[in-house]
Amino acid sequence: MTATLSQTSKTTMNPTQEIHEHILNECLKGRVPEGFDDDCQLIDEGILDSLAIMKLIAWLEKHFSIEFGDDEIVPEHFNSVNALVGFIKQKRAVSEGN
Amino acid sequence: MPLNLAELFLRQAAERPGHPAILGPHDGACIGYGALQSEMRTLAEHLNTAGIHSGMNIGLHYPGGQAYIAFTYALWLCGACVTPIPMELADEEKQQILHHIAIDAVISTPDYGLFTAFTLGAAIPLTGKSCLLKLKTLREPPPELAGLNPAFIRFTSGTTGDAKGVILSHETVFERIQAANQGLHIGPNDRVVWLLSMAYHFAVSIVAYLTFGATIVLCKNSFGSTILQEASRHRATLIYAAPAHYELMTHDRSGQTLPPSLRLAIVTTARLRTEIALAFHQRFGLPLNETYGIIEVGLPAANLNQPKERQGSVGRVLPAYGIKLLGQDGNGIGEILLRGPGLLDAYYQPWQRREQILQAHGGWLATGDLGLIDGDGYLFIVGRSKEMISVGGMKFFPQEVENVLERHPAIRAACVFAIKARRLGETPVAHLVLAEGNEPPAEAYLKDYCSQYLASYKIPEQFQWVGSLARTASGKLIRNADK
Repeated sequence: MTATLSQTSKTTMNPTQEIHEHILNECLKGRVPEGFDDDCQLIDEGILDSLAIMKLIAWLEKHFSIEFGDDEIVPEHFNSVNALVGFIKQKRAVSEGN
Repeated sequence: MPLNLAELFLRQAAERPGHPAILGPHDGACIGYGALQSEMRTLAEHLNTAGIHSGMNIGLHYPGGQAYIAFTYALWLCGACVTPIPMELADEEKQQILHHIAIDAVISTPDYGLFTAFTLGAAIPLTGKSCLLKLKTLREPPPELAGLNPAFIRFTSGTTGDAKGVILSHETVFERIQAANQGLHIGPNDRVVWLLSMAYHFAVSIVAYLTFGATIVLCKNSFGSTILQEASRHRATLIYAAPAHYELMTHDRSGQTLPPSLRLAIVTTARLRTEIALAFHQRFGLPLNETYGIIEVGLPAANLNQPKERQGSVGRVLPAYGIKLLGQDGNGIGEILLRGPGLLDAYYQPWQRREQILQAHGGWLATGDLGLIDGDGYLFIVGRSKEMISVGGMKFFPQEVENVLERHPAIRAACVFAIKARRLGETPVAHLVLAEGNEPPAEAYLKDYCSQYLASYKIPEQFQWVGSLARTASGKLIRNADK
């Protein structure tokens, strides 16, 4: 018998903080660039490269129980932590509406 | 007189100084062959003044882009060899490169703290965003290295934690790009959209483009809409990208098309899923050209003639190469063996010259990949005989991750293997056996622990505690047991 330690995807924590911390730990390895905040341009500043975006999508899908449509992987959703949070809220609202 | 790839670029620069060498990544950015040559020469003078000279090996710890290209060529102008130190590696992995490969100095971004334990003297500023750090000697280079005229040393970790390090001489890289160009026909009229990591892809791509007078188009990001926009804006003739990039282009919702100038859409780094190939063709009316590239060989095969009809094949081997399959099973599948120009010059550690490497198979290089060749000579890659994992095209051996996990006191044994992942192709998963007397650490803790030693793409997505690991009768781990 195997026991998985994977966390459940539901979370009651603040999504902004969670995404902020995930990007700091996973993409920036704890090295905080000067002026890094939730409006920081993640793409233009080179914080998210293509592999990091794919890994981030996998984490967001699992962590927030959402699914990115293929046509939803566009710069405007990944521009900043706040943009990501806005997109996730929108996805959750649609999902809850259904 | 030994060949120097930088001299080949200088010849192009002399012939066509105003011809664009690099376009982008920012709007309107353009540097011509002449201006890029000046930038390289200025950097080479700075490097010379700082003590960089022929026979040295210099680590390059810098993001891909115009500066990366200029540094590489400037180092070659100094007669030095380049060892890429990929930015995305964990600090410990970067330091491991310094322990395994004799590196005299590093060109780095200002974020060079991880190197300070190894440095001699203060950082020497090169450009506003880069500096040179001279390093203490941690090991001597292999005595035969200098005689090979090395251009690159690409560090690769081996299956048992042994570092290999692939050495490519200037002559070898030149042979490779000539052989590749018998199929690609790159020339001054080409504009190549570039989307990959320069730390892993440089020899049979960037060097080829600049040697044959083409223009490199850099994108400011790798979203589908941006790639399409830049391809159209610059009238691209060729795109060189991973399957994920083509997937993003296919699903882009901006309605953009690809320019009629585009003649090749090269797929590299990972296997292309059929549905992406079909969807891309349906949207853009163009097939994707799958290729077979390996660090030890270069680009021996590319599906340039029948990409649509034989989707899934990496094509026939290019004219300069020979291929055969070893130990074919009942379905005709066997290990791919190759021979031809530009095979690696040597492995760094343990030191092995090309002749020794090829000796085992009578002059053929055993790739470790499994393939099938159809009646018309088209090669299909069907798997890997090595247990390598490929996450979004970034490849590594599971043993690397197992070694890190097994260093943790709570873990008695680890088995890392790949499971299929929708966008990344594969993702690693770990099975762990708990060491007696310990409580299993939480997943978040294990991820944090791994991130100290491993690049993020190598960190398992899931950790599962098991009573024991599946092994063969001889005790070898069975990694595919749960695939």
